[in-house]
Amino acid sequence: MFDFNSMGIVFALAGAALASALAGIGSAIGVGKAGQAAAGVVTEDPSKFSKALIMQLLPGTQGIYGLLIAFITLNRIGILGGAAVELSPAKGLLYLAACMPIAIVGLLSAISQGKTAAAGIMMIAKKPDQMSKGMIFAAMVETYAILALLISILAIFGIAGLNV
Amino acid sequence: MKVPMSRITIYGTKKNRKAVLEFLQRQQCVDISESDAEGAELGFVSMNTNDSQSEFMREKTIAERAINILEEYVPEKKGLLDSLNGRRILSTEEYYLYVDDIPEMMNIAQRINDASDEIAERRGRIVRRLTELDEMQPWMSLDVSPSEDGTRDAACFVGTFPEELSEQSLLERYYEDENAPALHAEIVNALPQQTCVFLMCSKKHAAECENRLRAIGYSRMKTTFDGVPAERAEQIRREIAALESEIKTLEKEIASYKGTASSMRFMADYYAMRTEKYKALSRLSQRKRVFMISGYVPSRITPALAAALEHEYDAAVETEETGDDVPVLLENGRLTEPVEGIVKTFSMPKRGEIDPTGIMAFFYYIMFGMMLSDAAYGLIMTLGCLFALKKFKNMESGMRKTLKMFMYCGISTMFWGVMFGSYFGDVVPTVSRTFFGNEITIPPLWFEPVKDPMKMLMFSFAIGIVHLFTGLGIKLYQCIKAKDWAAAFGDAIFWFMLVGGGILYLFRVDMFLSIAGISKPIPPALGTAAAVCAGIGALGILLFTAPKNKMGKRLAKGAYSLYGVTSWLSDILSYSRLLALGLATGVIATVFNKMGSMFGGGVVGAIIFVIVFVVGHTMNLGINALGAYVHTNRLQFVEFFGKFFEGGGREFQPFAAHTKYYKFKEEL
Repeated sequence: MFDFNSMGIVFALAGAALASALAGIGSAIGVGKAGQAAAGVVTEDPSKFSKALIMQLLPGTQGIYGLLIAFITLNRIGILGGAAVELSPAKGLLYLAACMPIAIVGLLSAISQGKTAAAGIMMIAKKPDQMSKGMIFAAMVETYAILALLISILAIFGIAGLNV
Repeated sequence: MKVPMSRITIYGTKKNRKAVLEFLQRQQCVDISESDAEGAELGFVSMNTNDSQSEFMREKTIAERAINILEEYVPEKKGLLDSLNGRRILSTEEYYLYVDDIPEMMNIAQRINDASDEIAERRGRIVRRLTELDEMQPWMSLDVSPSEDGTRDAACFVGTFPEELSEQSLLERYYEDENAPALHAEIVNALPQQTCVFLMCSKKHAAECENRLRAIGYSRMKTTFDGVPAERAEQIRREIAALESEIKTLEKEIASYKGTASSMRFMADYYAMRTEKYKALSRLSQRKRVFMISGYVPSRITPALAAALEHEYDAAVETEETGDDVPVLLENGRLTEPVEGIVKTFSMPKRGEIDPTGIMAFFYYIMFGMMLSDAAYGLIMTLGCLFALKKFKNMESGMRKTLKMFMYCGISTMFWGVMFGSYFGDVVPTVSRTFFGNEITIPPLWFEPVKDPMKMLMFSFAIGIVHLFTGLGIKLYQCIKAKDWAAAFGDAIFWFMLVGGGILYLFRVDMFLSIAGISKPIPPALGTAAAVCAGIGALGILLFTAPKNKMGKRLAKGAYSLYGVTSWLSDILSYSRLLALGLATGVIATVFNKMGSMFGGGVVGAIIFVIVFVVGHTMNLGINALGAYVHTNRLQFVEFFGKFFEGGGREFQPFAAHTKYYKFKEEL
């Protein structure tokens, strides 16, 4: 029997799933792009492996932020640890909405951070001593993922206190 | 702090030229300048040493190539941490032993280079022979040479058709014209795209026969080889075997030079040193009997250096306090020195800018610690760095500084971990609950960010405001020092008033108070004072950003500058990463603990827990330490330096021996 009033937890879980899935996809694409560039540079000079690897890792954080939000959500709605909480559909949708910033921004920022990291890896090929500048360029992109993460976190923590 | 520099000019007699240069190279304290026009007017000329320099470079390249070749054929065993070991120190005796060996070793280096070239050449020949074998493959069953043209009465053709044919189909096609002369055909090899054939006819019809064959698609074989294919193939295989055995011999020869690797490294360093010396020599101006050389020296060692030069080498030394293009050398205390490298990767401070290392170090450690914020992770980092620092005494100074920096960052991480109550995330409660059935928690010394993220966010912003105001304070200091009063007010004081007053006034705004969870606003009088202060600041910025311009332009420039208040907003918000990254570490650690404890207590559960724990926390520490490093750098470079620091100074690069493999002792 389909009962809309019991759908709260479904919406909330959908939010958690989207946060980890979309941000994870973004990071996978970003890390992949950077990895291709890294492999090219390492073919020429294997000693640049560790530097290239660090740069490759940078777009990976969005996936972790997504996981973080998913985990907090799962914890809050009682799927992970503790008894399941009664969730009204409105509250479930609130959780879904709260997960959206990191899901969407995570997906897109990781892809574009991947491109920036790939360019930074190209920079390492020519000027290995300028690596930290390449890292900063990539970190500039990540700022927006961090801001999205922040809103997602604050929203999820805030929802618990709402009476809907 | 920037080390004060003096410009010195050394005059000496030519017979001491070499000795003086060597003395300076050993002292490693003079940044030699290009010879200037002043010397040229006095009849000084500089020596052209390009030829010698390129000759030394060539020898260095030969030695380095020999090192790489030896590494390829007879690799030396290397441990994971060997890269932490610094260059080996060479005693004077060893140095001269190596120098004596150079002519012989150079021959060997050349021989290693040649042997490697010969191997490459033979490998190339083998590839060409293999291609030939490949091309011959379809012809293997042909038992005459393809260039064979027949006997006294018979002519023969060896060639191909561009399709698959059988003997019968070929002859059918040939005899479509009944007048065609008799032909004998044998199929050597038939493939879909090509049929190889051997054909024979009577000699007097040879030309006609060939024309008719051409008409149905025959073409003569393009001979790439000579002789009966099977025999030729055998010959090629023997050639390849011979080449391979030659390669083996050459490889053995290279391997036999294994013991010379250390000499090769010495030569690479030796010629690098000589190149550097001759480069310095080219910057020295000289006349018939005297020479002069000038450069920058840290002021505090100038008297000692001058005295040594005057006594030992009969030189005259002239010292000036300043110059135009003063190179920058950073020097800091033990606690702050490790982050010099971070400043260097940004840029050296230019003229009129202070060295931000000391102030930055303090914030650097705090912020790194807040982002990683786990006591156990901090302890691991601290102990790991401490171990490496103790074990590898001879480490290069750059590496030593980096490790020290991470050690201090680790200590700060421990501090914040204790403050926020995070030890491998929540491993203590998880383990005690899962395996001992009795939950023990370690309460945080201050508060848990996960429980009260708003408080943590406000704290992050507060740190950020302190950080940014410190940067602005340095700007003010630099302006005052340069007596640029307009900039002191327009770029610093008014901003302090505007931003400081604005922030203080927020504590009267109900919306802000409810977000921040503060129950009591500040007294109204203070709020009004703050608002007035901010107003004066804004007005000041509007009027005094460009005081020298005409009124219209002045106001326009002021308004544009005032618009910069938005960047203050985004700068402060940027510090929210302190919260976000701190939470990320803790929550992900918690995820791994939970995953590990899912299999319950008991022996199996414990084993699984240990595996998940080790793998998970290693990964979490690695990724979050990297994140903390990158984002701490960002906060310093973009937000903090953005307020006062441009950089662009030239780094002090003393004339020294920049070697790669060995360190030479002082007395050399």
